[in-house]
Amino acid sequence: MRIGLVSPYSFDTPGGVQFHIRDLAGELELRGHYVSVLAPAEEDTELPANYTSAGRAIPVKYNGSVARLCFGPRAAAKTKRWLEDNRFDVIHPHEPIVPSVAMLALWQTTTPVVATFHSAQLRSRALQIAFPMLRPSLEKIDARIAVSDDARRTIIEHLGGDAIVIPNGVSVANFSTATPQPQYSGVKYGGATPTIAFLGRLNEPRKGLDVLVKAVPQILQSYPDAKFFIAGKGDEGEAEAKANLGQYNAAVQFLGGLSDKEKAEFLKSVDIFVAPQTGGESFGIVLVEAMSAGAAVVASDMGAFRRVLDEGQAGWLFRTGNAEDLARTVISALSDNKLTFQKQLAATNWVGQFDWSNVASQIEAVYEMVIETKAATPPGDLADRVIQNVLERRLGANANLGANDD
Amino acid sequence: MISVWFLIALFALMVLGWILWKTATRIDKLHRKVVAAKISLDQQLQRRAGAAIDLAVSGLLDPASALLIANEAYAIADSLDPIGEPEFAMELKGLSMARELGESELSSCLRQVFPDETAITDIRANPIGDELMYRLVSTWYRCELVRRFHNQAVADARALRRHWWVRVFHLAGHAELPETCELDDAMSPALAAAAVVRANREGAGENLCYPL
Repeated sequence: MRIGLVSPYSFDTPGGVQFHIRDLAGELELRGHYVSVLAPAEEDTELPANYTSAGRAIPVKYNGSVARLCFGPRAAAKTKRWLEDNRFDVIHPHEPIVPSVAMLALWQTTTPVVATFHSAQLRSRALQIAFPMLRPSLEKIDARIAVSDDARRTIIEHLGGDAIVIPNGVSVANFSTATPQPQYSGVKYGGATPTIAFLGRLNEPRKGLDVLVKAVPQILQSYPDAKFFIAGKGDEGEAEAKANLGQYNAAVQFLGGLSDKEKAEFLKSVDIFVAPQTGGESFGIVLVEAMSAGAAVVASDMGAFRRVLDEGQAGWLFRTGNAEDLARTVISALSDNKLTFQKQLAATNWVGQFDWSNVASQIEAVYEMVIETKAATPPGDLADRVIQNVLERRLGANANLGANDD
Repeated sequence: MISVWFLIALFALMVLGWILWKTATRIDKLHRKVVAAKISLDQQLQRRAGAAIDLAVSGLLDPASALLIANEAYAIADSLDPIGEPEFAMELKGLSMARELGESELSSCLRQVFPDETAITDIRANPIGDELMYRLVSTWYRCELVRRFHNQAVADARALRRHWWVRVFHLAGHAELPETCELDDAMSPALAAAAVVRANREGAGENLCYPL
């Protein structure tokens, strides 16, 4: 198959959607498909051979946060050329209602379309106003994929209709076979002290770092030697967390951003992975990564996380935003070894469904069916049908006249 | 003066006409999408029934289960809709009631024959059984997909046809209102898992990681 993937966000900055597209492209190529990715990119960025730049992404305030988007006539022209040059069997824009390249591709395409919706927040007044204009584009989508039940519910509420749920993919083996690193290793790998990890952008309040920071003193009361590792970029968030930690700073280490390999090793090594996000998550890929690596996951009990953790069978849940409950949960996860082991075993089985080998097969099935369905489309356009209709009626009328004559 | 007003009116009329034509085209496209999805769904359901029959006659099931599955699957062959025929090319009604019932019964029968993982694992211990089981669950999953495409297209078409101006100007012509296709195609968790295990065994290998 000739497949065109479209990313609304630039690959110059990392993000869940970009990672998903990159990994999906890799997996599809391994399966022998022709894959091309269209995404915004800076002019001096060197892109792999099958990536095409749609132009620069510009920081724009959209939906309450600043997103780097790519739009305008030049981007539209580049998108059109990409579509024409590659003659795809199917195109697969991601987040087609974010005003960026994916929307432009959808607007201009005539090939079958599979669209993936990642976000669980669509509510925006601009979208309501622009909706009638987007309708014709949205009608072009042959198959809608939502990455989670939460994303699906958002689609049903805001766009009408339905969507198939296919989760985000993870390369489970990359995490399960990572090498544990002694500097992060906790009691699981024979260390003396338990280690607790956080991973996420530090500047974004909804990632919930301050919930963890507030829980640190209470955890240290029960486990005075516990070590905390905070990974992720964000200088302001780091400074703020340090100020709030005060005397407990010694127990917490900030690691900054991690590469993919470092991330896998980090998650593999630590005893507990804490996901204290307070909202706005539609899936929680990092939870699946932590489960794949074998860390015990302690997460907020918001809808998306509950489902990713199999309603708490594959991990521990605490009341969203409640630092005290987080501390209590971490302490029980550290003390109840039997239950933790049981949950980790359940998690190992549970993550299989998120492995790329499975996720990509499902997406491939969607491509196949969309292409097959398109092939079954009756030929002719509206003009043909009107002419045919008129002719038939003329003929029908003549036939009737003939019948009356008899 | 009159001629200026006349020109303005003419222009407005042309714009209105253009909008109406565009909308009518959109409706027509959606109608064709509905028909295409229905044809595709019909084919896919037939493939599923075929896969079920293959499994039933393979000799790998107990005779009672085999007979039950074959009975349901052959019943579908008797209630086929003449969807592929050219004169039905623009028929917007869904599948017939008899067909929907038959397909739902096949689903329910298969769920009963394969209630849990052990029932499936037994079949798949045999390489032929593994292949037949894989064909069943993969065609089944594709049925679920296509039915959703179909109902989505129906929902889009109906949403567009609800507007008063679409109705006043008869933009949908004489086409009947498309209907969704309602049938029970839910896979049991055990059957859904069968698709997963097979996919994992195929082993797509390690991911290529591109530098970001």
